[in-house]
Formats: sequence, C-alpha cells, structure tokens
Amino acid sequence: MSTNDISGAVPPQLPSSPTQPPVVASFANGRQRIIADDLGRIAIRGGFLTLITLSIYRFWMKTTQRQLIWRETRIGDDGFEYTGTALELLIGSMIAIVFLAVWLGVANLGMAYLQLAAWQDFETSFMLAPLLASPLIAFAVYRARRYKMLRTRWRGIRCGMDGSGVAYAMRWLFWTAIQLATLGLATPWKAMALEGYMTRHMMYGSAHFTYQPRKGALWRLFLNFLVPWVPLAALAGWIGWLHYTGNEDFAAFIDVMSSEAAREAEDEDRSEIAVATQMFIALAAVPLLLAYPLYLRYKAREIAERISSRRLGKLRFECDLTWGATLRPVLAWLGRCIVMSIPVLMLSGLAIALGALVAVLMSGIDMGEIFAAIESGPDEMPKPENASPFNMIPLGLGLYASYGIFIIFMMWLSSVVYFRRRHTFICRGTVVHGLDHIADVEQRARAEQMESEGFADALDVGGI
Amino acid sequence: MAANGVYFDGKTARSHPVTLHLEPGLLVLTAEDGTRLTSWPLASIRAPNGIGHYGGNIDLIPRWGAEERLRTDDGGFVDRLVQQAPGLQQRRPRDWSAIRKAVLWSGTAVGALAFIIFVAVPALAPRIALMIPPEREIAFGEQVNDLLLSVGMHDGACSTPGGDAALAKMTARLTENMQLRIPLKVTVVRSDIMNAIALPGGRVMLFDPLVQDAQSPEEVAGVLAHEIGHVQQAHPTREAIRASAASAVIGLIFGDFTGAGVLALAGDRLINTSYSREAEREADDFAVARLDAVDVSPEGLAQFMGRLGDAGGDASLLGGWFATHPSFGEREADLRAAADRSDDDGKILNDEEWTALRNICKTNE
Repeated sequence: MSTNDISGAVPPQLPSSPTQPPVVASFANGRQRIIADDLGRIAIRGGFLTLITLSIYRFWMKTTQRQLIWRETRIGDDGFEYTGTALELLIGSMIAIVFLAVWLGVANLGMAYLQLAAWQDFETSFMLAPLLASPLIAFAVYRARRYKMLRTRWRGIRCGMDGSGVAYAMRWLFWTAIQLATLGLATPWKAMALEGYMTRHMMYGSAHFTYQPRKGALWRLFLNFLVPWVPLAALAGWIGWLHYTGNEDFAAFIDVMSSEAAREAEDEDRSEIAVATQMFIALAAVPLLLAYPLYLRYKAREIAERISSRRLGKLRFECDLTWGATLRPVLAWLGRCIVMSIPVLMLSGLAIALGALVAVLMSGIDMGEIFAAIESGPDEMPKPENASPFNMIPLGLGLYASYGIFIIFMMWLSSVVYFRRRHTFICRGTVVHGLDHIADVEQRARAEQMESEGFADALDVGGI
Repeated sequence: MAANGVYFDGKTARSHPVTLHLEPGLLVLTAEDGTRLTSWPLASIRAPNGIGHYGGNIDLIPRWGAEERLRTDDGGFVDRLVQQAPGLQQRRPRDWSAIRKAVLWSGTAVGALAFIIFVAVPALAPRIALMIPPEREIAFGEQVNDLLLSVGMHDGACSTPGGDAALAKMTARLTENMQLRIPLKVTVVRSDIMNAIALPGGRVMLFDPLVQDAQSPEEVAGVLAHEIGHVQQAHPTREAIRASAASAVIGLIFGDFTGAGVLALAGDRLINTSYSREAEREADDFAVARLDAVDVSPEGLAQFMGRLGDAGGDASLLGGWFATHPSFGEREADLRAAADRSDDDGKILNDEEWTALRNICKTNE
C-alpha cells in the first residue's frame, strides 16, 4: 500500500444538525507577538535585500510574507496554504512590464499631443492621465485576486477563479461612471457589485462560491456612507455660499491661490489676505479631518457585508466588524509614524552626511576651506582638485541608503503595524456556519500555466 | 509511540483525524476506526514550512507536488521522524524551466523598456512636436513662462523704447529672408542667472546678466541666433513631449519603488543629455549658417563660448558625462573654425543701439 489508498475507509459522516456551532476564523491565534516579530523580520531583511538587488528580491519577500500570513490565517483549526512562487511573480511582472511599457509610451505620447493640441489647460489634462490608466488598475486588481485564489489551498483542496479581467474592468468602468454621476453616493452599490463579480467566479475545489448580500445590506451601507458625506457636502455648500454671496475674504483666498494675483499682491499689504487664507484653510480642514474616520467606519461595514455575502453551497460566512477594525490600524500607523519619525529621519540624514563626507574627501577639498567658505559666502567655495564623476558615487550611495531607510520603515509600518492589525480584526470578526457541508467538495483538475498577478505588481496594487 | 494528526487526502475537503506511527521506511496513517488509511515512504516526506515552528502545527507532505496534506502538533513525534527521514527539511528543488522563463522575460522587459524610452519615444517626439498648431504651442509657452516666473527663475521682461528697438532690429536682421516656423517673441528678462532660453511657442529669453557680460552686440546676436535655431526645430516642445512620455514609463518602474527606478532615471538623464547635445549642435549649426547669411561673423558666438569655458562653466563635479550641453571648449573650437572660414564682418547694432540694449533692464535712466 503506497499512497491515496483510502477506499472504503471514509469515516461515517457526522449528522449535520442545525445546532452545529459556527467555527471562528483567526489570525496568529495566541501568537500575535511571535508573528509580528516574524513579519517585522521579513519586512526589514526583505526590504534591505530588495534595495540592494534593485528591487528584484521583492518577489521573494512577498512570497515569504504570504506563506506566513496564509499559514496563520485559520478557519477553526485549519490554516490556509499559499503555493505561489517568487519566480511566478517575477515572470508575471516582467510580462506586464513589456505590455505596459509599450502601452504607456504610446498612450502618453498621444496624451502629450492632446494636451498640447486639443486642451487649453495642460495642467488639468495631466490629472486626466491617471484616470486613463485606471481601467488597467481594475484589471490588475482582478488578476491579483485570481492569482491568489489559484495559489491558495485549504484542507489540501485548491481554490480557483474563473471570469475575466476585461469583464471586471468593464463593470468597474460602468460603476465608476455611475459613482461620479451621483457624486459618490453610489459607492456602496459599486463595492457590492464588483465584489459580487469576483465572488461568483471564486471557487473552492470544484465548487463555485455564490454571492447573496444580506437583506437590506445595500441600504444599510448607503446610510453608513452618508455619514462621512455630510461634512463634505457641508463644506462644498459653504464654499458655494461664500462664492455666491461674493464674500471678500473668500475672493482674496482664491486670489492668493492663483499665483498671478499673489505676485501682484506682493507689494501691497498682504497681512489681511494671509489671515483670511489661513482661517479658510483651517475651517475647511475640519470637515475633511472628520470625514476620513467616518469613511473608515463605513469601510468596516462594507468589508463585513462583502464577506457576509459569500456562500459556498450551504456554507456561509458571517462577518461583523466594528469601527475599530479599520480605525485602529490607521491610528496605530499614525502613532508609530510620529514616534519613529525622528530616529528614522536622523538615521536617514546620517546616511546622506556620510556619503557627502566621503565624496568631499575623495575630491581632495580641504574641510577647513569648506567651513571657511560657509562663513564667508558661497563665492569662496573651494574648487575640487580632483574633479572626477566617480567622486559623486559615495554621495549617490548615501542618498540611496537614506531613501532605503525610509522605504524599509514604510514597509515595516504597512505590514507589521497596519496590515497585521487589520487582518486580525477582520478574521476575528468572521465566523463560518455549516462547515461540515463542504466535506464532500472535490478537488478540481490542476490548471497549469496560469499567468500571475504581474499587472497588479507592476501597477502596485497587489498588496499582501 | 503514536501521535495524533489530521490528514487531508487531496481528493475531498474532508478532514480525517489519524494516528501516526513509524514502520521501517514508512510513516503509517491510521483512521480512528483502526483502518490503515495510507502510508508514506520516509525518504520522500517533506515539511514545506519547516519543523518546530511556533510550538504550533507542523505540516507534512508525502513528496513535492503531492495533493495530500498531514498536520500534527506533536513536536516530539516529528523530532523522531527527522531521525529516520533525513530529507524532511530539504528545500524544494529548483524549477529550472521557471528560471529560464524568468530570465527570458526579464531580458524582454528590459529590452522593451529600453526600446520605448531610448528609441521609440525620442523618435516620435519631434514628429508630434511639429504637429502641434502654432497657437496651441504659443499657449503652452505662456504656461511654461508662468511656471518659470512662479519659481523665480526670472522676474519678467524688461522694456525701454530704445532697448526694444535695438532688440527688434537685431531679431529682424537675424531672420531676414527666412521662413519662420512660428512668430518669434524675443525679450530680455531681469534675473540673476547668466542664461538664454527658448521656450515652446517661439519665446526666446535673453537673461540680462548675459547681455551685460557680452563684449559686443555680435556676441548677443550669436546667442540669439542659436536660440532661434532651437525655436525653428521645435526643440523645447519636443523635449517636453519626450520627457512627459518617458517619465510615465519610468514611473511604471518607480511604482516598484526601488533601485530599478533610480537606474532608469539615470538612463533617462543620459538620453536627455545626448538628445539635447544633439539639439545644441543643431542650434549651433543653425546659428553659424544664419550669421553667415546675414553677414555677421560667428566670431562673437565663439568668443562668448570661450569666455564661458574660461569662467569655469565646464568644471563640474559631475563632469561632462551628465552635461546637457557640449562643453563650451568644444563648441568654441567648432565655432572658431567656422569664424575663420567666414569673411563676414558686418556690424549688427551701432554703438547707440548697443548701449540702449545693455540698459534695457536699468530703470529710471
């Protein structure tokens, strides 16, 4: 007897009773500290290697991160398994670069022509350029989900996904048009519809997921979405009113904002204008600062509804997230940013200073002369004895190192501080009903040669 | 010495609680009712996630690529298993076909990027630049000028009746009998920088310190002819188009946030350099031909270049590598050769006009 020989050995099926308790999802259950340390090590070591390999290592870093995250994400006792490889990510990314380089090159030449030849104001059309690329981002988001599904196993059974990135991008375009036309009020409908497309094409083994939003889910989401919209609408109303009534301070503010008038005002007494401008900015900041946390509150509800709408046969998910699930990770991120910014900036500055020092020493300039020149003015700055472009290498390395320190810090913030918290909250808020119903779901035939999420990586939307 | 575990057969999602025990060369999995479910040869068993992790679960597979999974939390049992299955912690074997494919696609990607940034975009930009309607190009030039004003590169155009007349005369002389691509708008601007630039839309700006530094009106005329050369070839517009398309492609690499983007930027700087060196030579050639056509010697432009070179304009820590202009020395030599061939010695402004031009930025005089 070698392998797979289990015929006739299937244990008697458990009677599935409606009283069977729901199973809880979890992330890093009971080992939060250890997993945080592991994620931190991956971010710092991986970030360093990514920098010295000119970003090639990031595929390996991402793979290691995912292996850990998948393994530690569990439904009941059973963890997920990530089977993707770094080489697949690398190949996918390179294929995407080939297409994107050609597309972006041509599209931007066309854009440049349109900017100059067709539109009066080339600054506004610069803002249109990212909009033109956005259907591609929707395509990439779909591809990223599909790749992750295809490389996920749970209880040894492969997940999968069908459907098409183009079809998803079309739906995205349609819903974005509606969203814009309704001043954002259609956002919940867009979110649920797009998730619906994704979910209906997701598979576990040979079984397709279905998507059944809870009764009244959309209107509940809509009411939640209105909350952050209110301060923004109030702000827009206020600005409209100021403009309509011809308020002088507001007019002055607009003048200051347009550089032409600012220059004219230079010679006149500007103190009044400055005060009015600062007051306006301060007052306008209040609704903006208010709207973001309220939006996070809506976002928590949206994620919960999206997860709760998923079905797999008789299995269903139930997700309940509080405001804290989205707010607390952001607050933690901000907190770490504030606390760590000074040491990070110091370290970063030190790297530049070291690079500059070595560059100066290599060029043979006497340090004493430089300090003397700093006191007596820039005209006295000594000329280098040994003017060679190689002198710039240490300075370049210093700048790169300083940039690298900042990047590694951001990687650490996003994976350990932000993502880990958010993912933990979402898992903890999710329970699975009717798990025993999927015991008979069968393995699907192996699909070889699947493109990876290259577009997502190249467009930087892959995330973890 | 059995251990407990959970077995997944890779066929269905059912979990099978099993007991594990070792037989010579085999790991045997037995179901709760005593049925022998399967047995795995010890030689090929692998632990893809390593062993002894976190005091938690250890995952085992019968061999690489298998569908079956086995999970146990009995670390002691796994320690014994390691003794008899030395390959347990071996890493996944290298997938050479994937490596070959990765190398191939990486090469293709680098080639595609290089082709777009260094060949396709620079080749198409001049054609597009010449397709822009003149009135649009002029509007674009105004916006660029607004930008220069707002960053304080100069403080606006100077104007005196005498100075304006002198400048108009010089411009008219240089463009005699010539088909202009776009109407010229030549000004002297107030600034601290010694420079002369051509903007899109036929705007040429001589910075006042340059006029002050010039020893003769012919030197200024040489510089002006050079800038008119840029305008005729639509250099400023084509560079704007090239840079905007190239930066979008480079932004794609920069999306990956690290080194490759820096390399690409340095590469773009290099292409920009050779692109504009070529443009500078074209403008120099244009200037020489134009000066010759209107009987002014290129001597003035040559002298001017020579003085800029002596003043240390070439001595830069970056060296000539990243310089957008050919070195002043090189250009002086070329221009001097052209001057020696030339028999022109026409004066472009009389002394009175020259004084008026030099005083164009002096107010209350």
